[in-house]
Amino acid sequence: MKIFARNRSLPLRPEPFVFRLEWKPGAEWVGPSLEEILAGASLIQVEAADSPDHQLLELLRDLDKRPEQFNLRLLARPGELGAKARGEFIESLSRLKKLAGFTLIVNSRADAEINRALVEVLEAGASAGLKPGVLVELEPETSVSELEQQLRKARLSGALEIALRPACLTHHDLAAAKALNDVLFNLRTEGIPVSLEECFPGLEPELTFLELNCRRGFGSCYIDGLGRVKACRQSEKFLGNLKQEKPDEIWPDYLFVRNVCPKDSTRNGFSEAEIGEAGDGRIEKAFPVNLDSSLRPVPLFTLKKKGWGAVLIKGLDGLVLSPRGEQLARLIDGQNTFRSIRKKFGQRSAGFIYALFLRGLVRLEK
Amino acid sequence: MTRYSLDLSFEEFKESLSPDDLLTTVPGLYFSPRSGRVLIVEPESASWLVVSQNELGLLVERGLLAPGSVTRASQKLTDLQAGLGPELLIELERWLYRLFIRNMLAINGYGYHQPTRLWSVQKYPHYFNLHLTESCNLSCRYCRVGDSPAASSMMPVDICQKIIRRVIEEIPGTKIIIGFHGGEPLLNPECLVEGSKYAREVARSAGKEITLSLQTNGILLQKYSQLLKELNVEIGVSLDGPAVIHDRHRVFSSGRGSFDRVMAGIQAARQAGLNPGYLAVIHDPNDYLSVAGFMVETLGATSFRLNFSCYEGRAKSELDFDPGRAAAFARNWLQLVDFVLEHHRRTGVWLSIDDLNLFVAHLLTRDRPHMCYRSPCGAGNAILGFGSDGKIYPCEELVGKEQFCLGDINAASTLDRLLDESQALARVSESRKVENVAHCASCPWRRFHGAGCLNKSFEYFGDLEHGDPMCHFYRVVFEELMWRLADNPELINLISYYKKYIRVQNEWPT
Repeated sequence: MKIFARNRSLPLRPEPFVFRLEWKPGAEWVGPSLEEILAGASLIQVEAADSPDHQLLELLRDLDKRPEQFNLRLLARPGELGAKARGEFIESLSRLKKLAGFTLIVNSRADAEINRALVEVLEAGASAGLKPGVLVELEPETSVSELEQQLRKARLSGALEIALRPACLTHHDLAAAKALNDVLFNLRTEGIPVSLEECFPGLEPELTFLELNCRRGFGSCYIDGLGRVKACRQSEKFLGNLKQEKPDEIWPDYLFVRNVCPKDSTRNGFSEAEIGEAGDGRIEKAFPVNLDSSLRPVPLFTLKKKGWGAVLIKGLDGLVLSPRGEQLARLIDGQNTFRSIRKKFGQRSAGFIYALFLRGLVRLEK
Repeated sequence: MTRYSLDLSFEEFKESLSPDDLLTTVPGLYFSPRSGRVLIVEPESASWLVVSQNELGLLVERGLLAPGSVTRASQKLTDLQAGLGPELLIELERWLYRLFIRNMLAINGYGYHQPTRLWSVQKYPHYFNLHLTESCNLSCRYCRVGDSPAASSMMPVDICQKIIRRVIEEIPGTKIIIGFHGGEPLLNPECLVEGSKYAREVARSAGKEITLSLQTNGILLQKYSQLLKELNVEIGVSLDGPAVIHDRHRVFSSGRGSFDRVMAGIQAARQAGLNPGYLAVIHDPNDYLSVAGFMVETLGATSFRLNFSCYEGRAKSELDFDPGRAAAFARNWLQLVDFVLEHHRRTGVWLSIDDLNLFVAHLLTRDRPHMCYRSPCGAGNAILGFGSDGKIYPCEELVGKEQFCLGDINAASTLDRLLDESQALARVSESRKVENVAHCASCPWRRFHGAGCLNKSFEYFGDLEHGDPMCHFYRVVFEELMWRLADNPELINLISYYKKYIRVQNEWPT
């Protein structure tokens, strides 16, 4: 039974629905290419290479006025904005209706002045209702205590979300992995959630308890300021260039993501333990808990239809479904029970819904 | 675990646990650490809890809580208990109970509360707000009145009576409130008198209970207090505090302050035997304590409302609106908590300050007594606004905005049918559900505050798809009130007359 695009027995779906765009004045993806991207997007993430400028605000305003249904996330560096410019910048952002995320990037070795600017923008952004977050770019030589201090300070300054990504792609040793793991774990036990924005090559096996915001390139792609398309920001392989090719010509190569993340597990997808073994007419494995069949799954997602299936969207993330998965997802409406859904889609549908439950995409009600 | 009951005791909880139970935490919990403790908020059922860091640490260590994770953490009860000593085992059960009754923990898929049943809204309004005129004898610097194209119009008596008859006869419900508003409603005394008498007659014959109220700027109270007493109309007076604050913004068109006239009006109202309510609009957040002090000490009020100014009407051009002003408002507003505590310590009387009392209620109950903080807000389901020309709007604040007009009292079919069939109202209601406002959909505070005021969002952002421009204010004050309630349970008394909404006793955070 083909439910998930992510299932190992199925091909990955080629089209991304989360687009991470690098912004710099004169970015090559602005123009006709952007039009085609927007048509299929659920999230457009714009990352400013430098401090935000007037052109970036104009771009965001234009995107905000678009009729297509997508969310915006802005990643920017606090830079050297004066109080007046900061006020104008924050006010402009606060009026964008599609802006669902505003994240400030700061280096883990940033000097006091940058950190002061970070705090000021965080506080101003929070007060304007932007619910800002912080993305710390981790330098390999950053000490554990420095990092802990910086992350605690970010939380106290009003950052609702804190994420980490490597500042460069140097290999780390396992001792560093252990130290970073300990920092993240300690902060969690204190109630300070820290997520990983991207993977840490060389460290990853140690960081087993975190999901990646970048989705490991799945359903997502990165487009740099020159219009070059990659599966993720860290990838060295270009899949195409929007200046020379149409998105439709690039996406088939998108299957390359399998190789981009060699340590890719099913973390963002679904393991067979969760949804049961493949059918083939044999007895299907039940999901791991006996759920009352009168429970009604209540959707916490919105469903966005695609040519190849659908995407379940929740907040700034989503999940790809095949056409059959989409049909099943449409039955999750708070009215149908496990029993009635199982009648139509078989035993594994309960496992499917339970997997959605574990991912916070549905709630179960009596 | 099979039991599901809204009054589940700890003993019953313990008995119904079985070792094979699969415990699953809720994704999207909000964590906020402070001084060795952590506040946890479950957004979907508006539950919250303060735990010690040790408690949280153990649950994180055992893999049951995963702050920041987008997925649920799950553990079998036996795995969670493995290796724990007898004392810690008992503690663990108590922790699990606290998490379960706050919907932070599901057991075999069950959540304690069923969130879709928690947030009912009314089907038909009970409060009908009539703009007797769009004119006003003041030109307050933050007011929307006077910006309307129908600035000088007065509601004719026959329109007023038609509205009153139709809302009483056509809208289901037994208790209704007719609010006379404007502009300054006392500029149209004929309509007030005839409308009030007619409302009581029609309500009597329809067997409905009716309350009449009037919101005035107080300028004409000297002239009409006796009349209002005879009509048995409850009055609210808008007064911004001591003269130095009031006269900054509440001015005549000449620019002269109105404080002396309003105070004289209040005195006349009291002499006539009226007991006015007081409403102040705060524009400078530093004024909260001065205004509250004035209300209590000079006016002798124990119950009053403090609103902040909004980006609308003349305020857009006459006043400064820093987009980051919400933090300053929250900081100063929270001083009211200490003000009320100190007043109680000195006098033994608990003051009732709206919305302080209401927000405390939101932390203790899942009812949302005030229509503005529901999802969707009360526009069209708890309130209807009527313009002086007889046009019908989903809310008093929307009167005069043609894009929200639902119809005309002279042309509409029955009002209940109008509300049932109005596409405009359906669109408004749908767009103001928290789950449909992108900015609110993932906000931890969405069920405490709702998606905010439709009109304020529309005025500031120009659409219905935004949250409240002051949303950070609500975020800060709700979180701070949680901490203060956890530290000082005496603060439950701030809930004041909203106490009647607390129905589930075991929801009190312990």
